[in-house]
Amino acid sequence: MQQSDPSQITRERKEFSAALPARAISSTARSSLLFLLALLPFLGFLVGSTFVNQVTPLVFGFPRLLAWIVLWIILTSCIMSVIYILDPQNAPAPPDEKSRP
Amino acid sequence: MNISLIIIAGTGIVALLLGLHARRGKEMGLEQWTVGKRGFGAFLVFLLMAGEIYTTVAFLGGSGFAYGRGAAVYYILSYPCLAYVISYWLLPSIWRYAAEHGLITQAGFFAKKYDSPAMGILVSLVGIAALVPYLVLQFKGLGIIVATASYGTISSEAAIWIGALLVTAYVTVSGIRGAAWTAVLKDVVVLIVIVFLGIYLPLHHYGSFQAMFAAIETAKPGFLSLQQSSRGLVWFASTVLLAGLGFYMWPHTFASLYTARDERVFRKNAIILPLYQLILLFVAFVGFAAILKVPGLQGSNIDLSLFRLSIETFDPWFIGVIGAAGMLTALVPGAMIIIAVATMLANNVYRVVHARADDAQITRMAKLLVPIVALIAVFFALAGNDTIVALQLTGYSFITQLFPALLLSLLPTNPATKVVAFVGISVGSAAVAVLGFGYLRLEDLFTGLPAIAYEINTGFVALVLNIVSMAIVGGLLQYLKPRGPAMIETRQMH
Repeated sequence: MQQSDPSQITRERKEFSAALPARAISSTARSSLLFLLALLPFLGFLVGSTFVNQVTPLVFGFPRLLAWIVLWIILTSCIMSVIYILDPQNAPAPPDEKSRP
Repeated sequence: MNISLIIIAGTGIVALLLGLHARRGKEMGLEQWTVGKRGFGAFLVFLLMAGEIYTTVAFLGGSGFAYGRGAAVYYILSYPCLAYVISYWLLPSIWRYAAEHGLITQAGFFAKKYDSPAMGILVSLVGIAALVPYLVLQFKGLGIIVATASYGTISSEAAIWIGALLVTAYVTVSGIRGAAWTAVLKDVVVLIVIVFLGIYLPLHHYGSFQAMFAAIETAKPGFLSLQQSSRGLVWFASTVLLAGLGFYMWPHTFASLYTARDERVFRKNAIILPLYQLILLFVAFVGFAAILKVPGLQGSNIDLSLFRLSIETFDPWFIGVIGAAGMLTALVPGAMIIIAVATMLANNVYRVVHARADDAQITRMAKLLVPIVALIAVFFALAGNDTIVALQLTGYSFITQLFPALLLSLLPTNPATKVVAFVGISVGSAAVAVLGFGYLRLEDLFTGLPAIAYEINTGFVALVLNIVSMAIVGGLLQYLKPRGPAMIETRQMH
């Protein structure tokens, strides 16, 4: 159970920041940025495919639609790493985090 | 007895020994048997989660679908990516709640969240409805693999029986730990075999990927883009979205996420898993390579394309290696599915009926159910005539019906009461049963829509009906409810 301590700290940190209006706003802005980023793969796969639904011209020897989908698989991974880095939940929480102003 | 059969049999024995070994030094209580005492680190959780996509669906079904339906196979590459994006937020909150309440099944999660044992039973039934076709397709794949790799010495029927026995044996003995450690073996072997086949077969038969795709385009123009006539863009988008939302709704996947030690594991995995499933690309290459080399496979025989092409290309010993890899892709998910079904029946149905049963009794009951569940799947595998992908998509149509109720239950205040969630899941599943098995087609219900509308995946239509019915019932209940303090009180309860 010791392992889940970071999440508890995060929760406490969240409650703490909710108490401070200025902080709350910036964290809302940040989490909506994360959601916007997360929306991109959906657009890429579901909507984007409509515009590249052809075989030729081959892209790197691949059918065009397949090349598009492979591109988005790689982009999804990149987007998820950006989200991971930006998300304060994943920041290593030093023990004195809670007492910081 | 030929060389390829010996290799397959040897792999089966190794898998069994690994399963037995995994048990060592562990007391097999209910929590240990089902969720490994919630002690799995990032690596094992990763394998259990990733293993979800490296089933016979990928191995035989994926190549078969590429062979028979062309570009439609791109859906297999796409939907897991969307699922991983969602998983970043979805899985940690599920895990946290499950760990807090010591839950071991998916049905238990719903029952707790909605404070209703009846909900647990409903979710178990939907889960089982979805898992049976999924288990059937694993056994079907096993049958194809062993029968083909033994060059006909073992009949497909006999192979299905042998596979079922093997799964039952190590599931009974080792539970989820057996599956996790066999998953390690499986992923290594499958990864090597699939990547090798996906590169070697196109290059060997066509010279280069470009040449292969150009040749297919000449022979079958447009086959490698989505075509309105078979499975077009609307089918693609609705199927990808349906399967993407349903990905983590599978009871065995849901339960396997309980095995994690902490929640950060899931957020990390969301980065790597999309790249890991790029390997499915090579599966598609195998199917594409087979299009012009072993033409003429029809109906459910498209699932044989990987093996037909391999037999024309390789020596028997290597067919044995491919067969061994294929067998593992069926055994590991098969084991996880059986555990999930047996645990749900014991824990969320049997326990509700026999309220006084203790954990030891439930564990015994769950283990007793393992061979019964296997037998049911064997029966359907021997009787049915569907392609692997068709079976998988039927399962997805059912299982995604759980998504709306789950999502709402994770919100800080759940807007859906148990009645609303119950109605949504029931309506959605009923719609899948009616539409999915072809008793009624969309064309019969709504005439005069543009042709493109009829392409929508029926499971997706059911999902929409599910959500709409929830909104209607929720609205009605809200409207009928007596105004005043009573309302506030009920609101707080949920």
